[in-house]
Amino acid sequence: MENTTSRSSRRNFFSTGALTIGLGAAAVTISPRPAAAQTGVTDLQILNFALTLEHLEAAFYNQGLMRFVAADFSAGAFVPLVGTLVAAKAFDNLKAFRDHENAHVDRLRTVIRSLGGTPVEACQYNFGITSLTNFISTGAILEEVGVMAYAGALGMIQSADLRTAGATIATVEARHAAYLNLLQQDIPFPSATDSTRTMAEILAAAAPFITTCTSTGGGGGGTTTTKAVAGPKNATTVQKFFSLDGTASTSSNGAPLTYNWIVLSGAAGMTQSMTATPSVQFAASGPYTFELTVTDSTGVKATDTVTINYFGR
Amino acid sequence: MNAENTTLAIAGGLLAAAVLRAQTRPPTDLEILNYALTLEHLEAAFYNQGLRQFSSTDFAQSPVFLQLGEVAALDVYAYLSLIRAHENAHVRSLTDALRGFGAKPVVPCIYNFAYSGVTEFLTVAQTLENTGVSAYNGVIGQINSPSIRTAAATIATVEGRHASYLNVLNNQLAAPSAFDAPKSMTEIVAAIAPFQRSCPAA
Repeated sequence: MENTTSRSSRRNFFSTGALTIGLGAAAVTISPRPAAAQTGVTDLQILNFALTLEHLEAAFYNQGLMRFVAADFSAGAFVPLVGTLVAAKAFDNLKAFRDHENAHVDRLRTVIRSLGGTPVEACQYNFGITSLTNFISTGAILEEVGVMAYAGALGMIQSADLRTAGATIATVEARHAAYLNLLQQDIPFPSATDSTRTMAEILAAAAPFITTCTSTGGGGGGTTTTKAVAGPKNATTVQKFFSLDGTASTSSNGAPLTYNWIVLSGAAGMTQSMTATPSVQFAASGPYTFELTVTDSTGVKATDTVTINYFGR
Repeated sequence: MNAENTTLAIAGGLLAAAVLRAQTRPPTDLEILNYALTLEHLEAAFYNQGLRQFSSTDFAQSPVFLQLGEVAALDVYAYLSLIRAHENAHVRSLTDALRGFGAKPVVPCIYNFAYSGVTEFLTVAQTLENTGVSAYNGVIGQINSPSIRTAAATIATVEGRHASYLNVLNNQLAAPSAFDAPKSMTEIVAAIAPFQRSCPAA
């Protein structure tokens, strides 16, 4: 136990760009972060969000494993630590993980098309792999991000069948994460319950690995830019409660955007300000201006404003 | 399913009742929580018993550990103890959640895990964890409440981690398939029936 504890305290967290992932013992309770924090997310958006991550993971293994041969794993620095039993199967396990991520990409693309959506394309990535050791540690980070992404998204999926499909992928990502933790002498299962993260947090964690993303084009071949569209334009209302609409915003790669609305002028209240469609409550009659900032999966931001005229009765 | 297994399944109390009801309509969230609790009771009892029965020395002298590196071998007892802690934590949180919703949590059965020695213990552990994964994957889609679904997902992935580790200890691939197959409640009830010697009536 002493060994486990000391290593745990030595490596009890790691950082992935904007996201610091705590691996400490989380409190176990059936009252997680409410999934409803991201209302207005469609199943297709969640599927493309998942595909964005699977592209990343598939590219990681496709690129990374080309650098290594089976013999590297029997000569690796971890062999004396994990032993011959684990070392002898390490290359087979990692090749299986690569095949899994590619199978996830294929399945998600098929499902997205079957629902009439356009699957996001793979981006260009830079994983900074220089050695087997950092291949394994980067893999562990990506898999942990994958687990938190799926665990976070499962609450938001509307279709029961898609939830089941998501779960059958989530537990596989968890197996990968546990195994890579084991290879690098980290605790395979650091907590009784895994953490969740929002889509925005996950995309921020993935962003440092992405160099460029081209548009999916939607078949048109043109380049879509990331653009904020705050609506509805030129609206006048007598209703005290009003819904803003940012759903016409576009992202450069088709991956889901994150939204952030603020009140620029007027004494309005706002709820769900981190969604595409927040609700506002007006006070006195007059013009109210709101600003929407969208951020795409590569970190590019765009803003737009909208003014609503309120005539209270 | 033979007559004996049928009897055992029915003796499974609330679980069997939930499965019978689920044959005519989808299970409620509370039935799914009790179904999950039934599995967690089983897993918790398995580790509670086994780790009382075996010492870290017993594990260290097992053939499988001679092939593990020094650090990995030393970790085995600690990691199994951590898995035991997780399963007991799952039992507590599911029990608390059911009580919080005003429902009656299922109570543990008397179990019979039929292993002798550390090697067999690890084989049964592998079976139980992989069964747990397919059980959660089989019901997550049916949970109506997003927050209960998220909670189940954050447990399911931990069972996946346990299964991965126990696959490794049993010298198999950590993740044998790109997708962990879901199993129905009926299939799971049949799979765990041999481990349940007697269960309190519903």
